Amino acid sequence: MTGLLVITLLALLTGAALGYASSWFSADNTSLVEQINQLLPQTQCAQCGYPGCRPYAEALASGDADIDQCPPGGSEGIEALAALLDRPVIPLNPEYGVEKPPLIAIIREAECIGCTLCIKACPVDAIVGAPKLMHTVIQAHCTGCELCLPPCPVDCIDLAVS
Amino acid sequence: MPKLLPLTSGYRGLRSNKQPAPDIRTLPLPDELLMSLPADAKAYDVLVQTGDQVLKGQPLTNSDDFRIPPIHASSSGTVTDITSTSISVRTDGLDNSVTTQPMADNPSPRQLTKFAHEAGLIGHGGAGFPLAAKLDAISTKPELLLINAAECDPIICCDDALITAHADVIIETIHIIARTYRIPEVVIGIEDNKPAALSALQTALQKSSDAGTPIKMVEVPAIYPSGAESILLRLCTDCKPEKSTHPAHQGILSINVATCYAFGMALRTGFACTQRVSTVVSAEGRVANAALRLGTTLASVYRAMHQREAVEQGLQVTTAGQMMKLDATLSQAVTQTTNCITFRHDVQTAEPPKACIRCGACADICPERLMPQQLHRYSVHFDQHQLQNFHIDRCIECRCCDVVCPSLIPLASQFHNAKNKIKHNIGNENAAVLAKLRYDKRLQRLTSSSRGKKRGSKKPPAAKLPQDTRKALIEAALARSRSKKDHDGL
Repeated sequence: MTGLLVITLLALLTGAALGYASSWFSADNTSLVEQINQLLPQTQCAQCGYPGCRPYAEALASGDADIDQCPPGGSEGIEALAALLDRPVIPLNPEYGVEKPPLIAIIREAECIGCTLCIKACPVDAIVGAPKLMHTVIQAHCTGCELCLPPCPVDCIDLAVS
Repeated sequence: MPKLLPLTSGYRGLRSNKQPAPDIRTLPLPDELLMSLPADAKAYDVLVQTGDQVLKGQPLTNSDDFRIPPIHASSSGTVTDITSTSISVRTDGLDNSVTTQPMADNPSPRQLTKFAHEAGLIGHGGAGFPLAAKLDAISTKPELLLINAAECDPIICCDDALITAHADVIIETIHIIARTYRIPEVVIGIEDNKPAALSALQTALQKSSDAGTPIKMVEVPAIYPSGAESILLRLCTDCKPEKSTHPAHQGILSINVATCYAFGMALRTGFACTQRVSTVVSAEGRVANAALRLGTTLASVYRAMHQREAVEQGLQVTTAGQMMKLDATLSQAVTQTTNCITFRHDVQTAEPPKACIRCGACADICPERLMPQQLHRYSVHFDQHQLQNFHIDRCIECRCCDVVCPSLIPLASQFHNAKNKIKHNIGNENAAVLAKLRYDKRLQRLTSSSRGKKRGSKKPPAAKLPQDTRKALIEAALARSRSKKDHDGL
């Protein structure tokens, strides 16, 4: 009888201690938005309909957006998001774009008139230049988001497979 | 000799020391040479045009980047074709060469590095790392010079023959390198199945009058892959280079003995590297060592070895020895990294690989003490996290596991692909982190500047100046600009 009591008491005590420990020493400190954002490709291309990867992550976390809106992330990205958010894997919604190989923008420098419009459009500050002077893309920083293409008045920006 | 650290695993079916390496023979000059060009076409300029006459040792390309050494014509003749991958030269049989000056005594480190670059030297061991790039990296903090004389493949014996014949050149070159770059420690790692080469080196060492850095010789067991850079370093020295950067950046200069010989000959003659000694295994299984002109096609090597034309049908051509066994074609040309060419006629089609039975034979033989059976499992169902947990980055792709696998699984190539994929993923992750950082910084800047604007707009607008004063100011400005124009005109 004493043995049974002691073992039960020990089990209760250990259980309580473990329960508290798991809440005190929580391993998961990053918020859901941060976790989602880490799975996104960070191209900041806004194809999902939100102005960048983080706003899309916020919309996903609050349940406003679906996981099929990120073309640069592609099917692999959707799978990762589905696993994290415990949603079924669905194909990419073609409304938001199609999966492409990784791209980078290249300015045809001879044709650039130095209007600075692409510099303002670039979400990651990957274009350098000054008014009425030639601009160029820092290739290592370019995410291939294509946001610099529409504002260019002389269409001197090409996309190349990186 | 210093005590050896044991190499307990690895492939042991190597040549015993009772079989001396065959002597080096010279093959007839081929009619056509195919000088292979570097992969990155933007990195170099081609100096010749189709129809140009070239001399032996004449540079065909030019680049200032130490990582892209120039290539040279290895005999005299006419340039017949230039493609994106090679320059064809039809030889005239005269073998006329450019006039050169041997390297002056006591060169500066910079001079010697530049010379290695201009001689077009890359590593002769197989990986083909440009020598000048290695020398350039070492010159800031030299610590150790390791001469790799462990070829360790069961059939390759070209280095053995080369050392036996030219030990004096090798020792002299080692002294020049050690003296020029002020390297405090020199080690030659040589396998114990090469007694002739070892005694030739010892004789050359005794004869050498150079009393510079003492040269230490370490005999390593004849087990494949004792000649792999990381393993040889472990066997011969106490150095433990980090995996993250090339050993040359950590002060460790590891040079293949054949590269060392080629460098020595270039220094003696002032001449670019135009040939190398390779082991050639004929279709009948005869093993020979031949001095091959760079650019000789494998078809002409076959012709010279067998006294008959090669028939593509049923012939298997491989390079890099019995263990690495890289598939080749007859139209391919000899480069500085071609240390072995094997021809075989009676090739049976390989059986398809079967499922892994987890026998553990691969783990027993792995010289890096990895667990290939686990790596196999995680590379089939690609699991980056687990692959990294099982240290896939330490795999040197020596193919020992392939040889022992009873299920004939091509493990090394699976690991190679998985490593590439991990490298690609890590690159993408780094790019994403950088893009996120730059995006956040930009947002921060935009919000702070818009706040600044709002604050600025609260300021009362500057009081309007009276009409007359404004006119006067404009007049004054115009006058200033006019006088400046006149001044410029003068």
